[in-house]
Amino acid sequence: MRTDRRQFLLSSAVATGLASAGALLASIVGRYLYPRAGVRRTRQLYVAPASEVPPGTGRPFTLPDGGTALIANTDGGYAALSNLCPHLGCKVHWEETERHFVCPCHDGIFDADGAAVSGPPADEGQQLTRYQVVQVGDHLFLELDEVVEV
Amino acid sequence: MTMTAGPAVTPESSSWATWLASRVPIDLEALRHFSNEPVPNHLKYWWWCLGGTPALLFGVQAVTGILLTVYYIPDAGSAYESVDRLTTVIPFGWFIRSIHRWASHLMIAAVILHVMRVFFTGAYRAPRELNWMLGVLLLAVTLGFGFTGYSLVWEQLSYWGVTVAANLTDAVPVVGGVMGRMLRGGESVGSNTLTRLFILHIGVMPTLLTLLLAGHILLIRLHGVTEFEFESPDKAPDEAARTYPFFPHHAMTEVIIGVGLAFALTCLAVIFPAELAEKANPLETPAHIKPEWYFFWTFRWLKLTSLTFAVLSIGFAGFLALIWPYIDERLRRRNTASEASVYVGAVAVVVLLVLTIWEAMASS
Amino acid sequence: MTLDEKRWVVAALSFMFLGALLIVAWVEGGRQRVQPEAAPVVAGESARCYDCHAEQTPVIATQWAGSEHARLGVGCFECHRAIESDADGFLHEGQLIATIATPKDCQSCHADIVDEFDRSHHSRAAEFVGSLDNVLGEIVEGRLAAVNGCWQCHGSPVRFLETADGEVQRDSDGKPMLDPQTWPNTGIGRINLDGSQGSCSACHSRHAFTTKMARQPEVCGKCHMGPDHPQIEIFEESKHGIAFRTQIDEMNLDAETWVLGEDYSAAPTCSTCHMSATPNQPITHDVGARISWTLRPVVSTKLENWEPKRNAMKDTCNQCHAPDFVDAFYVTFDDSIEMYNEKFAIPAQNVMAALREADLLTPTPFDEEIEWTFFRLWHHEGRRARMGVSMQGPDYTQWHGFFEVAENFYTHFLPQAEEIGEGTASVEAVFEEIRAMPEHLWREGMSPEQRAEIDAFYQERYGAVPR
Repeated sequence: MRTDRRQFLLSSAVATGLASAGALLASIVGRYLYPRAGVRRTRQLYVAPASEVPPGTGRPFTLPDGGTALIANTDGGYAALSNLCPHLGCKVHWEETERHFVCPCHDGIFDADGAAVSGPPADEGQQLTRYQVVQVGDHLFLELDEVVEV
Repeated sequence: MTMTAGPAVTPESSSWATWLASRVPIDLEALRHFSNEPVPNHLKYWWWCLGGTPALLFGVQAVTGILLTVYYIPDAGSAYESVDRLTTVIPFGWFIRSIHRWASHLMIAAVILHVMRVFFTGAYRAPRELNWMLGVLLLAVTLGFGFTGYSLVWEQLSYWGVTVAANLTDAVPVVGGVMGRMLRGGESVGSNTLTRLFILHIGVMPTLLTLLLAGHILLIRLHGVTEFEFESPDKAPDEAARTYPFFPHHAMTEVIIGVGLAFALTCLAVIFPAELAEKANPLETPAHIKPEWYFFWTFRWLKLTSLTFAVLSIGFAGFLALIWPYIDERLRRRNTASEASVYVGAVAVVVLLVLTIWEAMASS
Repeated sequence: MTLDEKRWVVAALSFMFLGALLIVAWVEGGRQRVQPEAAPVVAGESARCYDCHAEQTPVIATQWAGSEHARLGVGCFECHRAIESDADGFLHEGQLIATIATPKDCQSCHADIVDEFDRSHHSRAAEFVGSLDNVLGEIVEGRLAAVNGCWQCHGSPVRFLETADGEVQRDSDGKPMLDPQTWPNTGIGRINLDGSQGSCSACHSRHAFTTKMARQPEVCGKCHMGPDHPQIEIFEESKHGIAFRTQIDEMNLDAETWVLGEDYSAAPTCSTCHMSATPNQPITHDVGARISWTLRPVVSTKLENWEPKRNAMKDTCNQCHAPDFVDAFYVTFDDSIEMYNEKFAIPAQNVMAALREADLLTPTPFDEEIEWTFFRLWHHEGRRARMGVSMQGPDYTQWHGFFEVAENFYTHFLPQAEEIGEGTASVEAVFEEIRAMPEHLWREGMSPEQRAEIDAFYQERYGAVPR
């Protein structure tokens, strides 16, 4: 009986030690192999001197991914909207007379703030992607959220 | 639906065991007998367990090596940076790399000790000459692993080590030039060379080592472990008393060595993690450059003799080591009590040790 | 060992292994993660520039991509854009751009720095056109000596090639053609077409624009070297330079901020003393802000507002040296400059003035030997002596400095002047004045005791007396 118990204890000790060391080792290898999460960060991109975007005007800005943001100086201050239609990815353009954005593919219409007012995007309740534009000194910067691979 | 016809399943034995046995028709009894060799009593002493150690370490190298390949990029332009990233950015990358590096040192040390043990106990003698020769080849492949391994990091030592090795190859008479070009993969050491070294390190050498190791172990099993004529009065006459079973007794010894090695490697990796020296720079040989410790003797020998002589003499010494069982046999045919092998071995050890220590003490 | 004992050993070892692995995990947790650097942003109008130029001028593109500008999204167009009124603007792939980026372009973001620079002597470096140096370079030596020599440090006045009727020449694309004698040029006082003066890339070489490079002494050494102002050589000779060379790895040269005593303590560079921040003062791009003497003219003078300037320099010194140490240096520094002025510079200047007054020299510079001799005396040897003292280079102070000043003054300058002025009373009077000065009385001869003492020294040291 005593021997049995000793044997049992001994076997458990060996099993526990080896199993837990093995498990830890396996998790280390798992961490090593599993791709690290990208780092999320916000970056300010230089746009232009503020004087070049007077009130009531706008200008296009090429984003790092090749897309374009439309930067406008409206009553509410500076705003930037992506020109990518959220419906199926065509490029919207600004129509000054109507003061709205038009997507030529399926006649999607967005108001000056980027909210869809008619056409398929409006049915889906979509809007143009918005970026923050901040003024630092005399210069405008666009704030871009991005995920950086490590 | 009812079951269609199939093999009868006896209720006594579990069904999956029978299923497996009928699909993989191995004679379990024979396998048990073959693997559970009787182990001579002297293997209860640790000194005699060195042979299993390199095999265990080879397992460690295979696993960590595969893991390292996940992030390593075998390209002269990116190799160093990929090792740097592995060491500094990838979680536990430093740990895997340090284990791989330390296991390589220990493996080479263990192989050397194992060779010495076999040599000085005369265990290479007939009928085990062939296994000795396999063993010498295993030593050569192990050293080759070490060399190609530290070349892959593509730091200064890697680059200049390969450069020197390739130029040494050139010095071999007649075939040297062709061999040197073959190793470099071109006129000079560069991207092609690195690719070749990588393939040697992770493809050719592992295959070679696995085959040689399999042959080595198979021959051990077929011959049985060498029994020694110890000068002890209570020599047991029958096999049962002279040996003990592999399972579980000796297997447990190997488990102790295995876990002990794992512990030692982990400690070494934490206390002395693998570092990264300067990146390979083909334009500048560093003022202080030395190979790894196991090549110190060749390095010193090269400084002492002419290039061609050094290359040829090292090659000749390797050849002598390979065929030593036959030389030994001749010597013993003349004089059965000849202890020449012990003296030759002692001289070889002293010479190698002196060259190694000499190089280690030299400042540059 | 029995089987059970072996099991115990395995159990113990496996727990030790577990412990070691826990330490591994702990070490991993405590490791400083290297944060990836932000990728360069090729944004806005620059995207189009970059596409082509990464192919056509890959090094420019790569240097820029590694720069701080690239991480902020300040690309090609931000600096090379031109406005309608820019004389050198031209349409290139649909955008109005200019080849030369000037301080005006940099000013858009770095306004304070450009203001400081504008106050500095550096910004006026090209205004040396009226100087004797320029006469030497452009006329006496030849124009190309000035173009490829003088102007590469001082800066060129950037000009267009003009047609016979005074129009700006344009190439087939309509791009205005810059006079190759005036561009390429990164001389620090370059006079740009937009009226601005200076070239930021003189020190912050394009297109990486690093602060690291500007902190290196070599960047100053491009111009501040040679026989007339060997600052880099003096620095290298000095303890400061030795410390820098020895401890360059500890200089933290590419740090974002570079405050002496906070970001680095190993050694000073040119920038450390003349420009960089200390815990008490900010960095300045006015290189003269801490200089109290001008060591460049014939006779040195203290600069306007020299006291606050000197205090600013002393603040830098005091980060490494005790105030007594610094004050003592300034005592002998001032005295040395006074000695140079009083003993050599003013007398030589008086001689030249007297010769001119007496019409013994032509008004044309450098057509008489004594004009070269005098020029060398103050412009080369005299500056070496003064600058050697100012930056603690003993050999430049003495053998390359005062020794050569004295040799020139006594064996070339005065004999030449005496030959020209012989018999002219007004000039002779000046010679007499010099002869009577206590500093020059040694020429009256040594006492027999003094001679004997010197002879004895040589006899004992070398076994012979030089005669």
